[in-house]
Amino acid sequence: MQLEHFLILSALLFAIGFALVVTRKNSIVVLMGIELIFNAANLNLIAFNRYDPHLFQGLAFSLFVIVIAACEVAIALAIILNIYKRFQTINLDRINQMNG
Amino acid sequence: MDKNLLILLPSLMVLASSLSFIFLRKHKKYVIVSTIVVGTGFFISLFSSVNLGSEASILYQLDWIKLGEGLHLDFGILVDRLSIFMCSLVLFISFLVHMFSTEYMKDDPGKNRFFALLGFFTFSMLGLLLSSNYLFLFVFWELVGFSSYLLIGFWWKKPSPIRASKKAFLINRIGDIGLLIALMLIWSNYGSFSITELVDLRSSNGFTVITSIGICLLIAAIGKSAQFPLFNWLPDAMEGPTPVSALIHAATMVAAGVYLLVRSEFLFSSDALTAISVIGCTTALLGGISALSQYDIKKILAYSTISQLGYMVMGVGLGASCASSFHLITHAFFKAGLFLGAGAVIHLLHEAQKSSDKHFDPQDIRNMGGMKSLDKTLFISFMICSAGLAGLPLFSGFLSKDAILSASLLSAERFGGIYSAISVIGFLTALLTPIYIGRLLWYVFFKEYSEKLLEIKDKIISNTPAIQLPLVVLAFCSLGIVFSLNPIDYHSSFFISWLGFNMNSSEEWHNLTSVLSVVLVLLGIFTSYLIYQKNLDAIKKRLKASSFYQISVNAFFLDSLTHKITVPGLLRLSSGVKYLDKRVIDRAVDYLAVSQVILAHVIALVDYWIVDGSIRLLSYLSGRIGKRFGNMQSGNIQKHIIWVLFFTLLVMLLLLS
Repeated sequence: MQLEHFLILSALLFAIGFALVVTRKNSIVVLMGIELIFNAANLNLIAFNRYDPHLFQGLAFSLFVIVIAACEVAIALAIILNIYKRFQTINLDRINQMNG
Repeated sequence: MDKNLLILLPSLMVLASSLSFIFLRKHKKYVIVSTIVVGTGFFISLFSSVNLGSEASILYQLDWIKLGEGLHLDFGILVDRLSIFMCSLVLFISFLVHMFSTEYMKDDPGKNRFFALLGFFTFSMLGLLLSSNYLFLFVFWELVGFSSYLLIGFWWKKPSPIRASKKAFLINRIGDIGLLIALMLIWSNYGSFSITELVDLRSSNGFTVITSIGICLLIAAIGKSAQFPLFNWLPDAMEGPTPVSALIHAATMVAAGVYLLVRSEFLFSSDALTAISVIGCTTALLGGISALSQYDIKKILAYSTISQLGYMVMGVGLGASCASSFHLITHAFFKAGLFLGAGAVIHLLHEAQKSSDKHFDPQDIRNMGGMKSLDKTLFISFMICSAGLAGLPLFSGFLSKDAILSASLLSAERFGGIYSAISVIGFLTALLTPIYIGRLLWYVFFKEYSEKLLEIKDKIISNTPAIQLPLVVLAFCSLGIVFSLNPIDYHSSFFISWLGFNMNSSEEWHNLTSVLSVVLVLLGIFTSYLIYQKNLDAIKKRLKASSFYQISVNAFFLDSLTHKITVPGLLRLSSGVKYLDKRVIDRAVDYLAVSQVILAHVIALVDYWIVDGSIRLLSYLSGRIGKRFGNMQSGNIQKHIIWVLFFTLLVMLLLLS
């Protein structure tokens, strides 16, 4: 298993995640896309951890990321809940209040 | 304030009363008031001329324009005995003419305007007399010409007065040009217009300059005083109302030219003097001959004025400007009397015609006759004035004509040549004068009633005092005793000594002149008696058939000659100018307009495509750019994210490369 394989996988994950974020109208799916992006980053961290002399910093960082991602999901879901309360929808196109 | 400045008062009063016409167009008392104003002015000027001190001349001046060292012009008045006396004379004649006109013009609807113009005419002449420098003299000279133009054309509804006024104005223009050129010459050679300064400066320049100045001044006088080549406006000016003719002939208009010559006497070189006297005597002769065969009473008097003016100019040319101004003054009285008398005759006939509904020309002497029994006052005063004109001894004309003629004899003795001819012509004119005036008297007063007059004879009523009084006064002033205690010798004239002239003629010439002129006058009277009273039809017929008669009745064909010379040339010139106007100037204007339109179109294109186009391009571009970038901030969160990614990548690319 070469480093490139990990990087390609993480790039794919990032791309899929970003595509979800950019294209889907459902906020929940967008949130899922964000999770994929996080995980792509985590994969990178773990893959590069091999080059750390202590084989440790990447792992620690990815743990932090997972924790923060969990918090972020909680907050984001709360926001989506509030959005739903307010607009009766979670479709991103419908909640646009700017006149662009 | 100097008491001599009082002389300004009459002119200002006359000007004020004349200008007040603007506010008093319809006022009933305007006529009376303006007459009284002129009368008062006369008494004021008489008072100030009596009060005038012994100084030769007094000059008052105020700075007008001051530019640097050399150039300064003044307002100024020159008070000496000549100017102040002339002022009194002008006001006197003007006053009598005003008085006469109150009756003569009483039915004219424009009489207020008439009196205003008379006043303005008088004012202009007074200004001319008092000017202390040539520039102001020129200004008033033009004003005199202008107001005479207005007065000759007073009856503007008829075409002939308008023509006459235009003719007078245009012919005077030629003289004005002469004066203008003289002014330029004086200024460029002496740098001063002041008459008193010029007296001291005159010798500092060359002979030709002085001569040309003199000739130009002569041209000015020729125009204004109706001298030889330009006299034909004066008979035409008879189209104006008769009192105006009296004023023009006696005091204001034609006197201006002679006054100019007398004032500028010091400027004349001997050549200029010769030219002046030649012109003068030619005019005297031509005027006298032309007066012989006219039938219009006013035209006879007009030609006689021309003849007498010729005498005056001749006198100046002979170096006897004293005699000239003396003749100017005596002539003013008797000629004003004659004109007002003619006016009275015309007025009588006119009134009678109106009441009897008969119409014929009231100025034609063939329609008159026998007037001596119709109006005694008129007859006697007219006779006295005629005697003055003819130069009968004891009357004023004798004295002044004598003065001029003896001066001519003196010059003939001194210089001979052309001066002898001038002298002979002078005496010949003295012979002509009684002939034409005798003919006039015979036709108007002594002949039996003409058929036309017979019809309205019963309707003729004597003139009113407003007409008779001026006649009587003027007739009195035509007596020799008024001017000289010894009424056959001008040397004892207190007028001449008062003016301070010294007559340079010797006693023997004077005696010879007196005898000669008496003989000539009697001969003239006898001739006219023979031809007209004795009614020698054979002589009359032969005279009428002769070419001399033709020459005389047409005034030497000067009119048609002028017409022949000037009119075709002018017509050709004007058609040439018309051609030029049409072909060149109009064309040029057309092309200019066309090119402007073309230019305007080009500019419009430039405007549309370049100026407007660039603006439109800018606005289009900024619109497009705005649209494009406005999408960035549409509020669509996903687009934002795409842009964020795009620019992050861009920045990274820039940083890494």
